Amino acid sequence: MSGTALLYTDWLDEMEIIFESLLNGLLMGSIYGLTAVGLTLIFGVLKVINFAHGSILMVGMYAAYWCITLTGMNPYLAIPIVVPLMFYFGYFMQQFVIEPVFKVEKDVREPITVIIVTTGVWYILDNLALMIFGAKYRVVHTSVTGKLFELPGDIYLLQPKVYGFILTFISGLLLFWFLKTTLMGKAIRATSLDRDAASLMGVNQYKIYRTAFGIGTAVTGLAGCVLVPFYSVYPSVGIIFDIRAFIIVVLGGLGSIPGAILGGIIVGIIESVGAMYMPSTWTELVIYGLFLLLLFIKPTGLFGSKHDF
Amino acid sequence: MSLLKIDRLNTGYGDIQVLFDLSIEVHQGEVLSIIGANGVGKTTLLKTLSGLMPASSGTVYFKDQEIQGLPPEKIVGLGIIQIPEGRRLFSLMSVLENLEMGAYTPKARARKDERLKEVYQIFPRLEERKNQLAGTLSGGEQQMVAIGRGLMAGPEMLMLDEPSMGLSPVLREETFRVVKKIAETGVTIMLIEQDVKHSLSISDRAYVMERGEVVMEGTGAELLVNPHIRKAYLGI
Amino acid sequence: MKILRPMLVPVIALTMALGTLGVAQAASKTVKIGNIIPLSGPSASVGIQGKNAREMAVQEINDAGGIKALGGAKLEMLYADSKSDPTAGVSAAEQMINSDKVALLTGCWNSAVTYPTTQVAERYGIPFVVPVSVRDTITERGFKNVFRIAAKDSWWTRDQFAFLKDMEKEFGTKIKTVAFVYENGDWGTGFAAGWKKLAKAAGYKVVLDEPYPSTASDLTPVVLKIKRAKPDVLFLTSNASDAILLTNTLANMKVHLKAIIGSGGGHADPTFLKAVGKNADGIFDIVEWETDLNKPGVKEANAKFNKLYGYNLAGEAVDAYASTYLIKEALEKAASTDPQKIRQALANIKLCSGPGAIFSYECIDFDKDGQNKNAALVVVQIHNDNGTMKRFSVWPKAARHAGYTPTFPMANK
Repeated sequence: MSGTALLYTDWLDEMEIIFESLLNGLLMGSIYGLTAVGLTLIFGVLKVINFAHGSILMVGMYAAYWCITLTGMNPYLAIPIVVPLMFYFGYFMQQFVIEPVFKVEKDVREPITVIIVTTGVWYILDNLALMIFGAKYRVVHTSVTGKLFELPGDIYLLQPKVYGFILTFISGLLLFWFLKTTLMGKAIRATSLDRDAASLMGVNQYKIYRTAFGIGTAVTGLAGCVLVPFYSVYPSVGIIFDIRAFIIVVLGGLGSIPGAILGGIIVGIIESVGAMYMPSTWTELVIYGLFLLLLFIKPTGLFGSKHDF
Repeated sequence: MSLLKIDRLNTGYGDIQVLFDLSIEVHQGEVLSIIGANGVGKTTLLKTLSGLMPASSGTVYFKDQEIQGLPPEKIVGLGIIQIPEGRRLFSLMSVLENLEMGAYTPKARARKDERLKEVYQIFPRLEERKNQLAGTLSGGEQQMVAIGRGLMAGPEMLMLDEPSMGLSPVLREETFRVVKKIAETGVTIMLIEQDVKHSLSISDRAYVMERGEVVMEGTGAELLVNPHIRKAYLGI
Repeated sequence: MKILRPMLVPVIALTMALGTLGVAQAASKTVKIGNIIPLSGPSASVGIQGKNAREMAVQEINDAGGIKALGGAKLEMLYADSKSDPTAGVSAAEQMINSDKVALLTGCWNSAVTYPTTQVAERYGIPFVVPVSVRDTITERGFKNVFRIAAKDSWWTRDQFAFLKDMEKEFGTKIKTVAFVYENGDWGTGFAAGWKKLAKAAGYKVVLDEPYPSTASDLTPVVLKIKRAKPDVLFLTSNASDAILLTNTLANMKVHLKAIIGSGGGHADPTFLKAVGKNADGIFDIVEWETDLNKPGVKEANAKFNKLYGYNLAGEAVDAYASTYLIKEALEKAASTDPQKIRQALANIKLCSGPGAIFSYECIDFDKDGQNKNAALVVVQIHNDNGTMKRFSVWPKAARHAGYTPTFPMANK
């Protein structure tokens, strides 16, 4: 009798841990998705692979860090400050750094020089941050840092991750609503489908590019705010999320926002639950393997469409 | 009265020149055809007029205003609307959304609802399919959306690039009938076509282009009976 | 053209003469030392500490008159950023030897970079001082030009287990199960190999063997595995960002263990303590050096360093500081910038005193393989001392901070 009872409690313990890892994967995955949304939007509209994406996330994290550290405010109240700031950061980066190159390469479908320019921005931003802030790992102690939601069965969910999950879905819905119903949103969609045809409707391409880039950076800024309560901030932090974001964008379909969020969740769950059954160094391999497999079966990704890329 | 005057237009792609001292006049209220074989530069001409590509030299006057070099959105704002080759619909947007995009400029947006009614009157099928994704429509229906989208902008001059391409003979006749009808409402039409017979028969005037230049000019009727035209373009 | 030809030979001769004059002039003014360390990338934090320590030593040495045996020649430090990348390290070495004509090289912190980069130096016969890189094989290749100050990594793991056994005895607590969680680079896997052998010999059961990528974005899965395995003692080998992430997550997920033993590196990084605060209470760490060492010159050097750079010296920085003084002594002894003579001087040197001798043992003294045979280690415990998190030396017992009793097993919050 006691033998089977012991087996049962062991099995229950095991199930609880697996469930805990599943939830962690879901939460963390949604945040990965959030970091990828900006990248996929920029690619969908501008047809540009923004290699500075990780650096932009880093900038967003530093912005959130300083907002919170200098004023002691609630980390989520930093969002209405950081997000608009990041919007303009992206808007002006597009207008003054990338657009001049765009204009020179007007007839090229996917301008290579622009990719080089974004790579340059990546190096400059990362090294500027290193120079200004130093290599120090900064951690901010906010009102939600380290706090947990306790679920029955000894399951702990980190509060900032839960809030990140909620914010991911709210911003996803907001973006969807924006793109579907507003004039600017429709113009953005039209430009991403056929930019010349959109020009023939009277859409100012460059204004659309700036706005889309700004929205992409703003969402990435939001991701930064979401990460700062539980993640350390340092100049090369962007690289860690960058690689994941690229995989998620391709996995979910270039230009698809729901694809990015779903792709992120898939990656998060594989990473978290997979680690329970194999060394965590192997979960990276599994993710890359899945990524390659998907490219063979459906090269345009989960929600990608054949039309434009 | 001259609505559009193109004076010695030269342009091309990089080192390849496509248009050579091209001069064309469009009179207000007329249907003008530009005919010529593939590759003579007809689409390049439209791209330049719409501001999608720059002219290397030459002037374009629209109602006595110089418009070469203006960005595409300004050209559209003046009422010069192009319905591009191959329709170029926004395939993942609905029929209604495509039509709405046609009325993107603030001026056009103000009259959006009444124009939409007019478009549905000309093309009742579009109202039936208004929520369907444009990419899932048949070729003929897509053509209707393309023309309807152009009308939503309230054009003064409508430039159509090969509207009958890829359509069945029945639909082709229908297309030219619709173009004629639009012209009757006062819109000036510039028609680029490879279907020489039909386009000449509805045109007031026409130009013939070969290798980036104008080689012949005349009324629609004149050109229809011209022996060179009949041999080269009508296969008679 | 005809006019120029007879002029050619004298012009060439004059240029060459001026050239050698220039070189000779340079040689009498400065001695160039190449330093290949990570100044960006994941190990930037500790790389920059090493740079700062070298700079402090160079300033002191140059201000005190430079190398007297070379007519007061000043030390000139050239730095190359290895980015923790072996290929970058190797090409930097090639450049520094061939173009910059350095007299010596030092570096590279990451063992994976030091191993091939020292090979380059050995090939050219340029002496290479390794302040810190722990991989055993760095001084097991029969090389003549490589001199390592730090202890071999097998000594680190050996001492970690010796410490654990002593704690078991001192506090009467039996340890049955251990877990190994380590960054999956050269350093971590090297430690893990040592741990596995030692655990077997000591009779501990290994309930988790978990390598993880240092650049992982989420270490919660690793912590969940630790929670599931329920070990008595957790051994960690981590860089700074993952040490921070793991410590905070272990505390957040309320994982209770008898002891956590770090391996220096990230755990010894000054930013680690600032970033994790109370979550680090009770963690043990093994390092080469600690600020509360009872040796002359330690307090002063640390105070000066802290004033200059805003944080304390740590093992790596101390070794970098000592290595600079070691190089000074070698140059004084050799009285020349000839690599052979410098190498000879290094091989026979015994650095036991002077501003550079702030290490935890008596003297730097190299064996025939270039390994400092006296390098020793110290285990510390992080403890909340009236609101401030401090590191207290606890082992060997002789080195223990006076008046401090370690907490073993760790208190459960």
